[in-house]
Amino acid sequence: MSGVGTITGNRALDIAEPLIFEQGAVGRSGVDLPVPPDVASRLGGLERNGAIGLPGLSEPQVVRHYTRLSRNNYGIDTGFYPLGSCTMKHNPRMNERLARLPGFADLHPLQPASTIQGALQVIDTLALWLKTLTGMSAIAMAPAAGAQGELCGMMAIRAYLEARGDVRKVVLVPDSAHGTNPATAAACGYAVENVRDAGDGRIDRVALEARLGDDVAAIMLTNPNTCGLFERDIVEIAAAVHAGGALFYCDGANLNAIMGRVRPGDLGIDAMHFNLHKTFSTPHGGGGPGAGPVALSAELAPFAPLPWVVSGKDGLALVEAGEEVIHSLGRLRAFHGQFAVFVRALAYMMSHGGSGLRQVSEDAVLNANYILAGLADVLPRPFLDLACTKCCLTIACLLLAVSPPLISPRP
Amino acid sequence: MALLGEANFRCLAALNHALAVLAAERLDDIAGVTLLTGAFFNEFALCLARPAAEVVEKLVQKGILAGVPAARLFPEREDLDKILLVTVTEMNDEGDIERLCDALERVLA
Repeated sequence: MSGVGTITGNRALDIAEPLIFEQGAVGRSGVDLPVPPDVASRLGGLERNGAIGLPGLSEPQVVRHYTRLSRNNYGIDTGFYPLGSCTMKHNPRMNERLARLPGFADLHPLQPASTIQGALQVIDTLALWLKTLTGMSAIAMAPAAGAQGELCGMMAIRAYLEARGDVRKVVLVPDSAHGTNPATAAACGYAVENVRDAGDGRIDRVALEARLGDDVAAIMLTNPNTCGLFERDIVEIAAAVHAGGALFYCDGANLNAIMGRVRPGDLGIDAMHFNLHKTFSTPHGGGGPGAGPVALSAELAPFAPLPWVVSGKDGLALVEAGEEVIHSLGRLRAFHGQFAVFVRALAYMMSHGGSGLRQVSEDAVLNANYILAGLADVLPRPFLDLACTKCCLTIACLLLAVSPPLISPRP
Repeated sequence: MALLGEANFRCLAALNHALAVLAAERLDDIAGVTLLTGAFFNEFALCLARPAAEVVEKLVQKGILAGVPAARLFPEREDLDKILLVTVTEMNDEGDIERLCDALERVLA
């Protein structure tokens, strides 16, 4: 705090907020608990005897503390917030309410399948919508967020190649790809080779085709790419990749710009993750929950991670083991995916409908171009290397070709 | 945790443990149920006289979620067929424990 100090540290209504560890009193608590029944301990001598070190606060103290801190935040509830595709979306309050319905929020993931038919229906229906949007064969619902979705897709590609006895060592990543793409390929044990852009922000197709060969396992392309440009040659790129015996991974983080307008499966993509929290509304500022399902081609579908939701004689069932899933990658994480994000995503999709989702995409591109046009006078070329908002400008660049070194996305 | 504070965080742990001990000892008294876990905080394993998944489904029909069959977590382990994992927290009271025990007694009878 600047200026002359005060006794309390407060300056009028600008409250100097101490840490909770600097407040409270020993023995104070904000909740009442019943007295535990008197039993003989079965802790096996592992009782903790020392202090934990937690403060003691009343309920009003806790409420005031966190309310004050929340008022120091700038977010979508207080103003325009074009940080990036994670947070620029409209996150309808209705979706938050639906995700908190007791029938969803109070479920335990290890309940018998007979007691969670509604939740399984949400997962299954969401997968159907995602298949319809992508025109692809299967959706792996387990990945927790985008980067894990990438890992899932690339692990499926590796498993598919190994299953056909085709061990390859290299993954090609254009310089316009998302930063996580090369990290994912490396985490899968591949050598990563960069493919330069052609000077216009799009991949150099000639350089790519020259590099394809029997050591290349896959290409990881982001489309629209991180420069905000749609890769116009994507169908030809896919054909060349497949002709070389490799597979085509697409980073779907920028799906918002093409949703309902292009089916990735029609472009020749073999695997593509969604960032449900970006494209289909989940408040994500500050690293909140995500979900990264992966659309897979028919060839890659048998390798999808567990569990699978399938129709059975007693309704929907979870397949978690057995001969049916012998090719599966197994578990990527505990349980069945980021369920509360699934609820929000499905609510978003159903409330918009198919034509509405296309309209969302068209509006996003139009609005982004409006902002870009408005920034033309204040963001002249010498300053374009400033870190800028992500999809706002990247989507705008779909129509206004901007070369990659000039604008970079904020991570 | 901010609301609980030092005192009630300890109390919450004690409540969890005490209710779990009550449940474990009461369940161990039922014919066809053997408590396998000697020392625990609030999770313990039971060996039932019948397959755990079957028992859980029967208790679901009585409105009780009794626990997790261990075989679901280790599907390759056929020897875990009759093992049930039970957790007790402050969300369960002594009446809940009695209802679970009564229902389990009837299912195993």
